[in-house]
Amino acid sequence: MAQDYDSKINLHLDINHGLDRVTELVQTRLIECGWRDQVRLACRKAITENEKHIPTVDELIAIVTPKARSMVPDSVKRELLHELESILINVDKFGYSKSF
Amino acid sequence: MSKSQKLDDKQLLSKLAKDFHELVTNKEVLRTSVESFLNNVIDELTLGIIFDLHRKYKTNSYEIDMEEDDGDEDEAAEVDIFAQHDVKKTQDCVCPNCDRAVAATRFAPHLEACMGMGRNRFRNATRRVASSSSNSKERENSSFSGVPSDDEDDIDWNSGNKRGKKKKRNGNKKTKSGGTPKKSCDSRPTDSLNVEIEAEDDDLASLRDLLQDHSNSSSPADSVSSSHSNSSRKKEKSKNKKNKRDRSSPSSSISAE
Repeated sequence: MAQDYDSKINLHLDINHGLDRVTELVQTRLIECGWRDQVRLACRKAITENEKHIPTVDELIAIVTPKARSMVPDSVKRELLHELESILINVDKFGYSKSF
Repeated sequence: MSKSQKLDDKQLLSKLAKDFHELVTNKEVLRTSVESFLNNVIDELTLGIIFDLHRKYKTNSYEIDMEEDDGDEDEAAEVDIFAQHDVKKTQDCVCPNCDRAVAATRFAPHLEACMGMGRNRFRNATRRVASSSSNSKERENSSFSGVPSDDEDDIDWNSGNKRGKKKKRNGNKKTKSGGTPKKSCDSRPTDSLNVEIEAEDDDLASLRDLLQDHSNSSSPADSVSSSHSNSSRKKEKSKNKKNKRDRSSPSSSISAE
């Protein structure tokens, strides 16, 4: 299942001390392309639309998450996918975690 | 680590490496897994943004009215200084000492005065403390207990002297009655111990209070006016006492008058 794979990758990256680097990379890419600001704006809209009633975190998550996913520009997504794949292949090539 | 543990770790590591290798080599699997991983990371970031914004809205950091500028970190409900709307919506705190609602901007100085930590308000505080207790002896003790806290704030190298002073003062006060000084006419040669002037002020204040407590039983408001009239007199008295211990010159000049 995709979920398993995702956690697997997390696990492997974590073991090889690459998880932090990867998340940082993704974050900087997304901030650069303005995705973060867009999501923030959408969030604020969602909050202020409800007149005088601040939605709960759960409601916000349900509203904003699908929007956020769609807001990632395709080019950025593709780039990130490529980079991640190459990182994983590198890890596999140069030996799986020398310092376990 | 024991050998067996090492072996186990190695086995585990090799298993993981194998697993990983399989994952990576299978391109389709790799692609899907990387995609889901990326989605996860994006979701995490989104959550972070949501939490942040939600908290800010809940704590009223932003003005809800869309007419004003968004993203004001402070309470934007009050208008600019230049627009000068209304009174500023300052949050009022309740003073634990006097149970009064005090403006937040004035809270610290108020506490200083209220609890007797400041220099000038020391009188008021000790007066209040003194008036709250019934017995006169208790008053003395309470005012004395109020003194060390202030004196400790002062120059530390005078602490030994202060203790000596207090003990002597205790004896003096117990013999005194109605605040008439027995040594008002003394004028002694003085040292230039300017160093101890600062400490003297607090001692003076405490003496003043004690003398006031004896003489006045009125409210703090009345005692303020009387304190001004008494203060000069008592300054002389207290400074005269200190002449005994060879204090600085100004006191002697006042006593001579």
